[in-house]
Amino acid sequence: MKFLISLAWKNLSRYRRRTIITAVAIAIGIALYIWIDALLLGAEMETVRNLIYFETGPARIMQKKYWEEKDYMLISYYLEDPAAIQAELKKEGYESTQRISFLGNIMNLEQQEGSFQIKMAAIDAKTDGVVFKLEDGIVPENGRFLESGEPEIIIGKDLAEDLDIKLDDWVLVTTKTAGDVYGEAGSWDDLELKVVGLLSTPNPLINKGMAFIPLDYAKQRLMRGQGATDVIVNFPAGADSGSEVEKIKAAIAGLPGAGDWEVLDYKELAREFIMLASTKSGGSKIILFLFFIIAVIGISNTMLMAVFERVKEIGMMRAMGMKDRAIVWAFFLEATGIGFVGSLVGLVLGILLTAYMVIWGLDFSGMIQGMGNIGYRTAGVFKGWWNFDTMLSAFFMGIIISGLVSFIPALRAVRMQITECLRDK
Amino acid sequence: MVKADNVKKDYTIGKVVVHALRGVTIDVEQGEFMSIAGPSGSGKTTLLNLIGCLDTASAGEIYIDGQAVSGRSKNELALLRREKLGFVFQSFNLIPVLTAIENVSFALSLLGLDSDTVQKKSMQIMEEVGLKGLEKRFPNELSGGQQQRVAIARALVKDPGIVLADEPTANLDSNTGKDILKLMEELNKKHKTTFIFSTHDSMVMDFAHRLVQLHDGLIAKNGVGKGGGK
Ligand SMILES: Nc1ncnc2c1ncn2[C@@H]1O[C@H](COP(=O)(O)OP(=O)(O)OP(=O)(O)O)[C@@H](O)[C@H]1O
Ligand SMILES: [Mg+2]
Repeated sequence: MKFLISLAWKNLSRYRRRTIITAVAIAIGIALYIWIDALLLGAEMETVRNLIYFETGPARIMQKKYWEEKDYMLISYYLEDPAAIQAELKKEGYESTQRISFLGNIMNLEQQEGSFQIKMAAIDAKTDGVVFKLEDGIVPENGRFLESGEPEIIIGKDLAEDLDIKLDDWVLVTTKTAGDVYGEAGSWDDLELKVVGLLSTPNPLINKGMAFIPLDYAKQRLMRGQGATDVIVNFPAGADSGSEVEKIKAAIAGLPGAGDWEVLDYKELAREFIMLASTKSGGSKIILFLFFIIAVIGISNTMLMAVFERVKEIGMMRAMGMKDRAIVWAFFLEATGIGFVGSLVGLVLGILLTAYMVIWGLDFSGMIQGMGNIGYRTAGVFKGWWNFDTMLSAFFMGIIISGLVSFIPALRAVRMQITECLRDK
Repeated sequence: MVKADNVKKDYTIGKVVVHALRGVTIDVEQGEFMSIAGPSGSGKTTLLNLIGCLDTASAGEIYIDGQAVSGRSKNELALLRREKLGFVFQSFNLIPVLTAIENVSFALSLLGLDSDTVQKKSMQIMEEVGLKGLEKRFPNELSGGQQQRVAIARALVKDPGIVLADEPTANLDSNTGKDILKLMEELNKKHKTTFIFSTHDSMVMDFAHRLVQLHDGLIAKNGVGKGGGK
């Protein structure tokens, strides 16, 4: 055994060029694997972050019926006393805000043609920021955030472009009111609103198709002064959302009507989207798998060459009474050695590349705008994220696979007749 | 010591059957210095391979130390070769990544001896084959004759009883070849090791104490050799 290890080592250092070339190939494969994985994970984390910060919030309380018919966003299913819910949550240390989320038809008031149906939210200008990051989406030259009580609106910058609207222009929003009777849709109302801000967020869906108005103005116009469709609750990033939801449920359980409410975390709220994202990452896994296959073919080829070059040597060792198993071992050790060197270098390279991606990231903003909505809720800079599981598994897989592929040519060599191996060519 | 009893070997290439050996019977005693001679294609290599348990006969039987070799597994044959047979090849076949002495001790380490013994025996045999001082050289830093000396040391270091050498001098010029044969003869005398070597070169045959002539897969002549290269 000791002899086999030293023989493997000597072969590796003797055929240095071959060792280096193969190790470099493995290293590049492993480094790329780690790097791409870091990018994908980064994109996914970024996507989820942007989903929470701009769309769903961490958790949300609403009427069960509202959720059942969520596609219609019927504001007639509203929470009657959201402030009471918020007060209960506050006692448990939860920050929250309320919103009215509804569908509206928006059009340029001046042009009076070409309306879009969009998702809208009436937001509490004072407390929305405890959960959402909309305010960060408005740079000074794009106007300002909403002020309470005013007939004004902020809209996504791409939507504004589609509507041919600039700052301080007016839009007309047509939507249904909550009606007088709980549970029944009300009459139509037209809101004339002044555009005070254009949103430019890292979430393309917001930029492309959402608009926001002040909560108290919306309450007065659509809800007869009362209620909101949802209360959005904040909990720390990284907390276990399932148990947070349970705690939230417990906190509000004593309120009248609590039995009719649904409490959902962002995973439930964006279930369809998250499913979409995971099939997408399934696709990326296929790309990684292809990398992997290419690497395997590369190593097999090297080992094939190594065995082929040394057929006579193998024949001699077998003639001298070395057992087939020992010969297969010798090549296994040699290949494992290359795999180790390559994987180690690949791991270090991969860590460096990932560090670059985590600290600086890659700027893809131009490309993303060109592609339109690609499903990842991210704009601009792609950042990576550390995935130590991948690093470790790539490292060990590199070594193990290298060793394993050596079996094929080595087994072939020991299956040859010894006299065949020894023949002078 | 070594016996071949009516050994036959056929090779089949496609539909053609080549009768490489057509019934060879020989009896080799302990300590003989014997040459198998014959023209190209007469079956010398085939016979040596059969005696060396590197290949199996189509018919007949080979006995090593009185024991028949047919019907043994690959591993059993490997163990038998490891203990009882040494090989010297026409093209030396040293492991290029090992030094001269490492090539020699490789044969011993297969036997599982402790490293002190391995080291001692290897050094000693290196001196016997006249390579003292060249132990640390790699094969490509040695001349052909020196490489063949390493190969002889490797074959002999484990005290194998029988050394088989297929055309051991064919890759060497005639003076170097003579030196190698003299060395083999010397070691044969000293260690009582049986040497069987093949050749088609009459100068080489002249060293043999016993000469077996093959012709077309049959023994044409089996007699006393001149010995000593006269
Ligand atoms: N693997 C093989 N397949 C087919 N035929 C073979 C094989 N090995 C040897 N032969 C044939 O068997 C016969 C004997 O060959 P062998 O190699 O034993 O001769 P040789 O006396 O060693 O010749 P040389 O002096 O050229 O080495 C030849 O006709 C050869 O063509
Ligand atoms: Mg031959």
